[in-house]
Amino acid sequence: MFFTRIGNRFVYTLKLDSKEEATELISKTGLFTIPDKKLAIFGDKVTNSQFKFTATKDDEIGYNINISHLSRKIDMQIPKCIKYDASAYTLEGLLIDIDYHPLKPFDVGNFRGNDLVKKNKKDMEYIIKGLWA
Amino acid sequence: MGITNTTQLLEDIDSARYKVIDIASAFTTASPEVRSAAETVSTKILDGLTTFEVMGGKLSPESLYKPLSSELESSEKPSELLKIHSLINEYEQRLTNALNYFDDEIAKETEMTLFQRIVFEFDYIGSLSDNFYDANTALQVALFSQNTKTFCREQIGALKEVLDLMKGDIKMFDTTLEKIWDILRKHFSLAGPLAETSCEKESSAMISGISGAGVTYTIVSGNVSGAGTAGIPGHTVTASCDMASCTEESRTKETSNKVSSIE
Repeated sequence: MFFTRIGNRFVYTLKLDSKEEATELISKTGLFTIPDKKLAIFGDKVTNSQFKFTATKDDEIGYNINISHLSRKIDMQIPKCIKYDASAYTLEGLLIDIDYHPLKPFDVGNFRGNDLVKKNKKDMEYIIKGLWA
Repeated sequence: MGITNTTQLLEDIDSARYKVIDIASAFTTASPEVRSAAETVSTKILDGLTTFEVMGGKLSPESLYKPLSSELESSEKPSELLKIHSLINEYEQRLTNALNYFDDEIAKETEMTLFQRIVFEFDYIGSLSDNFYDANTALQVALFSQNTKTFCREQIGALKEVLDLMKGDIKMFDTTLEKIWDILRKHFSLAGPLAETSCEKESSAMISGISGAGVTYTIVSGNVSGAGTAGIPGHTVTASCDMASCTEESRTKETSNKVSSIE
């Protein structure tokens, strides 16, 4: 018996004040650069960037990576008597979304979810740290 | 096959899988009377796709649980599952060596002696499933039964097969445990200390055969009674014997011994 698909997805958000801050942070990763000559075709500065790619490791593990500016709204209809605190909710910021997925089937008997998530969490921290190193 | 080709192939299989599901559902919606036939056919196709996918190779636990960077590897405690996996790989090599040196008796037996440490290594790993511990106990009893004998090629092959089963299912489902027991039972004596004892109800037994490792006896006023557990769970034998009614000779050699219960 084996699993044909396993994996997990990590979504990190960093609270920022503006879209420009997010764009600057993304450009600082060095993963996304548009040569001035090419940019000149469209305009003179990038105000919102997003990049998405899939990377595979040894033909066995795949990562879908999406780094972008995040902009959300809170739109809730709740009774007036209820107070809520949404200060921890990120309305504006940077989104790092990494979807980890092995490309090959895996034996059910050797699968331990907690071990995998624990290991992946460490890996994600390492990846994210590496983005701005 | 290159990276892109394999990835593309896996994506194609995935897309074929969704197409099969879509077509089958379209069929059943259009004509409900063919629902059962459509489901059977689509299930067969999906099973075929999965088999094809597995033929491309399975992911090893090393690839799944190994940290992304070697820096993390050194700072992190390795996953227990990975630890077991690498232990099995390490000791499996002993068996391979033993088969390679089979004609050189001393080298072969040295490798087999080194292999036997595996059961104690497993004992030191915590939080394994009960079934895995049971399989390890069976392996321990099998190796113990071979203590004074040399290993034949088939027995080494059987041990390799057992390790392969353990490696493929470290969580150990009941079916895997049963397979391991079957293999070991076929090539080794799993009766442990009861190996030379007939455990049939109301039958006679050798006291010397029963009193082995794991079985304790006490003599109180000429009566012998005792209970013990053989290496395999579910084989508990409680035996009692009235020594007062035995002759001196039979007390040391063969004594009529009633097995009061076998669980």
